[in-house]
Amino acid sequence: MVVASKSATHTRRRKVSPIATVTSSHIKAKTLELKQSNSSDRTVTILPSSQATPPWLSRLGIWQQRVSVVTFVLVATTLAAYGWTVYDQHSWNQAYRKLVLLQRNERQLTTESEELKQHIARQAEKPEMGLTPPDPAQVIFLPEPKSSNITVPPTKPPSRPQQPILTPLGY
Amino acid sequence: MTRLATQRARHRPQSRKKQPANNKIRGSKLPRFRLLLVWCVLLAGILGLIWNLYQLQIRQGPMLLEKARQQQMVYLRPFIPRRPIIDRAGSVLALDQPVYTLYAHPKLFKESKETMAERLAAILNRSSAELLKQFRARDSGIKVALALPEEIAEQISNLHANGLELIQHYSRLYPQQSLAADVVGYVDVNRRGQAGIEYSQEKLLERPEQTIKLSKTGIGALMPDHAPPGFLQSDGLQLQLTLDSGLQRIAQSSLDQQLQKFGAKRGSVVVMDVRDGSILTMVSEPSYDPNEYYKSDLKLFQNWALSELYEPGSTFKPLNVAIALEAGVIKPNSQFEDSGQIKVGGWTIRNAEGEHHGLLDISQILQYSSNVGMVQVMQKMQPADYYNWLKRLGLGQSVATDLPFVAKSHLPDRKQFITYPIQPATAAFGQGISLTPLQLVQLHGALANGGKIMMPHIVRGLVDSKGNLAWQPSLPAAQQVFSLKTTQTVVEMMEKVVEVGTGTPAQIPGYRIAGKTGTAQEANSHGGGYSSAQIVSFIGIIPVESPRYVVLAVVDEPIGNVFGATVAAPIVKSVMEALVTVEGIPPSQPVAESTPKPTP
Repeated sequence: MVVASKSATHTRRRKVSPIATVTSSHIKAKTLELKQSNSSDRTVTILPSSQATPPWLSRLGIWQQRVSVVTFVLVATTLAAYGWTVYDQHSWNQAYRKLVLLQRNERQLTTESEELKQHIARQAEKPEMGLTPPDPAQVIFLPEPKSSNITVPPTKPPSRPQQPILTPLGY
Repeated sequence: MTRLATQRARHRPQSRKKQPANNKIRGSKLPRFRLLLVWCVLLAGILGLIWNLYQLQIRQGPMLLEKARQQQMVYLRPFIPRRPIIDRAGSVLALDQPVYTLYAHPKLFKESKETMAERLAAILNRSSAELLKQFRARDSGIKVALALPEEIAEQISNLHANGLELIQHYSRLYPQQSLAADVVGYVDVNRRGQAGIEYSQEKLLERPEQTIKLSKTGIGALMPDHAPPGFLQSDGLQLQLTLDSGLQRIAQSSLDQQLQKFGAKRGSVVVMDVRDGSILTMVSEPSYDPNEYYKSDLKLFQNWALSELYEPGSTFKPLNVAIALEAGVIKPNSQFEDSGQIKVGGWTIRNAEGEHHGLLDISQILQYSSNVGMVQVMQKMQPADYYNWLKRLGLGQSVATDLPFVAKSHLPDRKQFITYPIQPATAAFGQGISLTPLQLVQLHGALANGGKIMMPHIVRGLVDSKGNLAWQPSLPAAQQVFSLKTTQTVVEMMEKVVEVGTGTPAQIPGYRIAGKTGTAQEANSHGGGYSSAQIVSFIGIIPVESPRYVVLAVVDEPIGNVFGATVAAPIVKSVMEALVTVEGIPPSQPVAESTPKPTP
């Protein structure tokens, strides 16, 4: 509506002054001249240069701008949230797979180490391996040190050499 | 459009000029018909869509929903195993493993049976001809392989072949095989514990299996949307036993050696910590492999150390001495005449070897294991008092413990015991009463720990992965039956048995060991009387100055001229040697240097 009315005024203006490159003040001046010169011939009704937009329309325009900003933000947030949920599910899935794999590795490690233990123990029992059962005669028991007998020499802080320093401190 | 509109606008006034009356009616009818047509088409379209919507959403809705669920949902069974059982050092005695059963449905194969057989044969390590034969036998539901491990199952699922189905289930693995089978037990195909700890501690070990519904994406990735909170957090607790695998192994191998050497039927070794009643070792041979329990004889599933009774014979004598001392009927220096035989109620009781020892004090009675002496000691007591004492020690009842199938020990009828003097007389040297090896260990434990009867137990508790105790069984309070003075006196008497008496084969240089041999005739299983078969045993306590461990070895039906000293004492000795090194028990006295002095 607004655009249409504007173009209409333009065409009207062009009829009055065909020069397109003149400034608006120039046009105003020219129309005044025309008005003054032609006033004697016939009365020219001055059309309004532009239709004044009604206040409700301008308010609606402002609201439109605001709403589109909000819509943009909302759409962006939704996309981000959706992306995040997809990414989150993906990373959860990966982590879960990793957990299952690690648990399986742990189980296999436990089983194999226990089976190895059993195998080694069975091997060790064979007389040809040359291993003997533990013998207390081969165990050394160290007597517990009596705390009263131990005297800790008092530690002195290292004293500074009293001799005058022969080497120069600076170079 | 705009062009057409303008053209129409131009034409209209002209046509109006030509036929002003007729055109007015026609022009208004035609667009209305078209409009109606378009409207009808659109309406039909809308109605069609609504009908289809109704069909999809309401008529077929539930069915389609189910179909979608089937495609999107995956039923996950997270690995929630039965709790593992570990020994006191953390070695695993039993743990769960997922295994797979492979089924084949040849009618669903996308490739030829031959190709499938070849592909599977490479993975399963079987001949393709054999697999092919199986595939040709039936169209569907062929059980191809049982108990496949995870790696192989993964290789098969990576084939992405139609017509192959892997079903997961759990299998219990006992990595130590027969080592602790008598204690740990086994689970059957229905995963129910059937013996040992697996049976008695079922509640602690078992955890309910959960099935969780999860959605999956088009590429098969799991989505956590429907996951219940905390389904990944399993507590990871393990059941820890007081058993020591290393010691168990030594006990098992030395018992096996003696069983072979003497051609014996069976044997058992039990080691108990007398301070708290925890069992470090419990071996019963012959045993079975719980991984293949179905291949074993049913009789082997019973843990002989606690499910069968035997007459303890001379190993019961120290307990009788403790009773008599505690009752005040004898003093440690009381003396009795051993003439080799004694007549009681018309029966003649002799010493095992028929020898006579003359005047003996209490310590000597134990050293020579004099039956005649013991009968006289117990004759000092009123049979009723003696009977009450035996009852107080727990005879005639079963030992309270955390292992299952404990046999109730046997004590003769009270009236008979009091009326017939032969009954207390035979009980004096450990015949006519019968108990389990575990109960004998418990009673000797009371001698060793200053007179307290402890509950022998094997469960330490539930521990987390770092070894911290999360739960501990509550044990009943110890029952004081003997005074400290009495038990010390008896243990010192038993030390003499190992030093100079019948128990010398159990000596370990540098250590003070108390012990007692036992050689008893086996009661006939079919009726009264005794068979020629013998049951020999040795019970030892180490170290005498502050007793910590009781070790019992029992060997049933060894062949030849056998005694507790020759058959069972060497087993106890080797177990004690291992105990000393494992537990770091320092020698009581310096070990004499065996190297000869250099001659001048």
